[in-house]
Amino acid sequence: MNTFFPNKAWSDSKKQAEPITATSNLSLPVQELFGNRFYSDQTTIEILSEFLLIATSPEKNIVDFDSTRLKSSYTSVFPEKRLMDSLSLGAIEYKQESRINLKLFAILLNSGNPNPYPGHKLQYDSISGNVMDSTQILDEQKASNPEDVIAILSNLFMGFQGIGANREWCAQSFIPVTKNLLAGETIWKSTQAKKKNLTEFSVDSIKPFFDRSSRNFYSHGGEVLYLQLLILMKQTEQSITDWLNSKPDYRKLKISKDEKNPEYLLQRIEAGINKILNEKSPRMLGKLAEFIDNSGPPIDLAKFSRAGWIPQAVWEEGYFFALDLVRIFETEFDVIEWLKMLEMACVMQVFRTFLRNSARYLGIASPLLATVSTDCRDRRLKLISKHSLKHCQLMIHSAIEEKAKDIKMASEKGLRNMHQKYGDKVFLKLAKSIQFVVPMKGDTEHFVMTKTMLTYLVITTLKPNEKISYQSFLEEVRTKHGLVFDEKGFNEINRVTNTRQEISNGMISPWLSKMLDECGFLIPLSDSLSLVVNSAGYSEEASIWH
Amino acid sequence: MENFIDYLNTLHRCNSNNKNATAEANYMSEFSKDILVEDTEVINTICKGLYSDSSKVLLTGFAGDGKTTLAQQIVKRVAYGAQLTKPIQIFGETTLSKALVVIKDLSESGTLEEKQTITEYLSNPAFAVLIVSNTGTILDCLKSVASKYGLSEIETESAVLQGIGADSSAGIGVITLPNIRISVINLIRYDNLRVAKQVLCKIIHHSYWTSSQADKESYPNIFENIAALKNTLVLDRLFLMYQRLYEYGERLTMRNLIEHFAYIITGNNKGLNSDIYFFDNVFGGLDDHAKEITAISLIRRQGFGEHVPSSWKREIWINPNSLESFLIMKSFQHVLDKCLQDGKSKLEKGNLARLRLYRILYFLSPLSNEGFDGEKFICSFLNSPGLLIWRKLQDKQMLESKLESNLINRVRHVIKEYFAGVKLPENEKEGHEDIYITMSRHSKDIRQSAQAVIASFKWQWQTTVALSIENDYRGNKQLVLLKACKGKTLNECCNNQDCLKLLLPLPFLDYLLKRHMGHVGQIEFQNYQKRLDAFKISILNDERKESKLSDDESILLVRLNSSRMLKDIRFRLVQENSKNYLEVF
Repeated sequence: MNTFFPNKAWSDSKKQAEPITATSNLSLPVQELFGNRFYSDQTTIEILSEFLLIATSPEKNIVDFDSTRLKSSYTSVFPEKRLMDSLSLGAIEYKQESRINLKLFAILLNSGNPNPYPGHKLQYDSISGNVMDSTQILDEQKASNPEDVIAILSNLFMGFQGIGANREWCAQSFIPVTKNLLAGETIWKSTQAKKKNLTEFSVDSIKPFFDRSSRNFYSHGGEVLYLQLLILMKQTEQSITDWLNSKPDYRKLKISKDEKNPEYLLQRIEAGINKILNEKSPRMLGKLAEFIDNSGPPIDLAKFSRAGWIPQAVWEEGYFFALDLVRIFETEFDVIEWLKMLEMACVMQVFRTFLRNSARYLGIASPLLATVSTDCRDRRLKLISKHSLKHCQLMIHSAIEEKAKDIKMASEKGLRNMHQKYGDKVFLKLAKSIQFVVPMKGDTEHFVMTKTMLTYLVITTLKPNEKISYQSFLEEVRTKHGLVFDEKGFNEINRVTNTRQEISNGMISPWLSKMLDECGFLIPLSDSLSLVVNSAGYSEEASIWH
Repeated sequence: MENFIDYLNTLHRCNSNNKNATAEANYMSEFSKDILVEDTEVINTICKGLYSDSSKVLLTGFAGDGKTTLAQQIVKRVAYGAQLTKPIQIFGETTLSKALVVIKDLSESGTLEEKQTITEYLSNPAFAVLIVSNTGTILDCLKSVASKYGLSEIETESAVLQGIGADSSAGIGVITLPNIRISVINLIRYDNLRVAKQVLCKIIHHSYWTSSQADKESYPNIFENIAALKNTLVLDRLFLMYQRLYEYGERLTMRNLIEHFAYIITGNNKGLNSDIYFFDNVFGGLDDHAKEITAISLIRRQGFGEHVPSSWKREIWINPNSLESFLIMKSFQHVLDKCLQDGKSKLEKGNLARLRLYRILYFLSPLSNEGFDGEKFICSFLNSPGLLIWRKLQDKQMLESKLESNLINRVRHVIKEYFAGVKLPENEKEGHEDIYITMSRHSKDIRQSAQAVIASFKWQWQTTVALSIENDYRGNKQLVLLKACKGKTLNECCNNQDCLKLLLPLPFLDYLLKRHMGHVGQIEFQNYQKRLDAFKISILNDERKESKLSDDESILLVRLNSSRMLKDIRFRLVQENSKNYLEVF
């Protein structure tokens, strides 16, 4: 049986990390271990965007390396089960829009660049001119002239600006509040364009300088997560039940019968994604984006992109990701909050993939992450947390080194580069970007809990208004994410990391229950028992205490 | 033989002799029967459970909530005056027509045999069972009981928590396991201040205070304290403080309260020859150990007395003579005068004296002093401007119209700002009735000067929105903002159940009243965001019920104009001759 899903060999981009030819089996240790691939420059929102981009792409093809065989295609989020065989042997290609005119319209003049490239300015003038020409002001009290309308519309879309405010306008992205704001990566090759010294700036003349194949920011991370869900189609309810029952920790998890059925999970995820991007967000917002994107001279930059691959064994992590997503979709939020939770789920899944795969490969237990409160002043606790972070990084590092030996990769420089760009540094960078690890600089980095992450943990552990004892909540979070908050967990970490510290009972203040209380997730029943409730919808019971 | 004062000193933890802190010891002591109060409401509820068919009752709550005392009272009632002395005790002769088994201190019943015994009693219909346990231990015990019936730990926990955490107005939940049905009486669901007040009344009206006049000379301060506490106004102010703690989620158990009462009265016998009185003892007085008392540590944490209205400060310190008629009890006038004298000092001594003076005024000043707004003083002292409004709600049904309109404007402002994610001027004129729910990111780093509206509704007082008063499960009255469902008026919503609700408990009410005063930081607001978020979600769901969220043909945007007012603008795409046009109106 192939150890990868889909087949891992194809050519894609010029990046060294990619295999070169369709027949080559060469790949880097990181790709062998975690899938192809997570990259340090891909930010959290870009992982989510890429995940949604492939999931919602209306044109997805399953291509086979045997060119004599026919392409299969599907439009839904996940393919039908009958396509799984051809999928295992081939690869997934999907269409990525660029939304270049919309980005130009919304971001160019707001990006703070006083001297935009003349070709871009001309294109912008053309788009805004067309929008103004198409504008009919029916009530002058609302907007006195078409220029006002342009300003309002560009402000509207600028409000959805995602990460990358310091990048060139076309490399920035929007938060995916609607499908029509999802776009792949586009890089403006500014040096080359300057060198060319164009005098005429037609669409055709500037088009070659837009690069859509670099994959610096949309570098397959979201695709890997999508594949982790897809691979669940190979499982059955029985196989998942057996697997969960085979591990004592997993047996205790609060998972319903339905949730053990992969088909049910994928259906719920598909419905959830469609609900958020199509139903919960104003449809006209997407139409407006489309209208602006089509208003300028078309720069046809849409392209098909090939998704990466993942090791088969990752399906276990994929299962927990699917579970998290289903529960996020079950809790009612508004679109913006939902996206925050999805972003958190994607990042936590990247962590899970790194840590569990490394542990599996090295044949050791998954690491525990000692988490303290943001205002923790106890240096001993922070030290243990720091050691647990270092342990995680070291474990990822060792797994990559071991894998490099296994596949006989010799280049030391290449390995060093890999740790920086694809290995433990990705883990650290993402953790810092969601403030799971603080401080940003310095050697006292340690894990802390934020309110957004706590909300994520509660809603992915419990269904709306469901209750669980505080102790069981801690156990669930430990089993699913490896997070520990109590003396017992900290002492276990001490033993693993050889830290000569013993944390006695009572040394850790009840900061987590206080934080749960502040967020409205705690119902104190007695001094020895509190309930954690998913009140993110609404629970009068939890609200009584606030 | 000890006297009553010595007995009171065994109830708090400021000295090593707090032997009567546990209910078991206290029940055996000489004076306990004098201060014991029967909570007939709870006792009747428990008895009802024992007389029912299943006849299995779990009495649970915080340590110190009075579970053991209640169990002793139950045993006394149903087992013809018998006494509870053992962890597992069977009473053969009862009024229940079956034997009663009382199982207490489950945390100590850890052995397998004991768990086995408990299981047998629980599944045997020939026994009525009263389990007295705090909730953590009962959960562990029932898990092992249920595993015998093939129930997994998760299922058992779920069933037990469902019962213990039940939010029924009667305060009774039910744990249903195979072959076992247990009624749950969770004491934290009962407001214990009513019973606590009865206990305090019994203490201060104890015969000792009249029969032992000789001790009065040895303990003059304590006798003064008793005289003061007999005054209804002083007692009311004390319980107002407890109520304020309770409404802010700081619940005191019965043991905490009785400990505090004992300390308020005796002050641990310290300062007998100085002028330390009950108004000092409430806050821990001069005693360093007093901060160990839960009630005192909570009261200190709240910073009561740190805020006093400036009008009061001005009058007190500019014209101190006017305070002569301030106190309801002249016996404390000399302390007040001393504080006035010392309070003029700029040193630390002055600070303490001023704080003490405000505490004296809180407990001993009537509300109706000429030129002084007493209500304002009390609310400021307790840092809760809505407390007296809330208190009035408990007594009568209606809010004064002026107050109601003031409150409603404040609620509207907070909702409007939060739903639109913008900061609006405080003096916004009435008449702007549209409330917009936008796709706001609530982020300081992102500028959203034009925002897409996902839902909007008209704020029409008494037509689409209104304030109402509803009972919570403890029987306390809470303010609730009602919003009619989409397309309906409040009258058309058949009853309140059809309306969307935003609960305005005391802390939220205080936030609404304080946010204009500059007292409240952003951090405090964060605690209410979730409540507003939930209200927003319920409105969005309601909007979606009948139609799509926003019609497909147009989109409403809002932006702030130059005078920081929200201005809406609608866009519509129309197609003519295969060309798209953007209509703006």
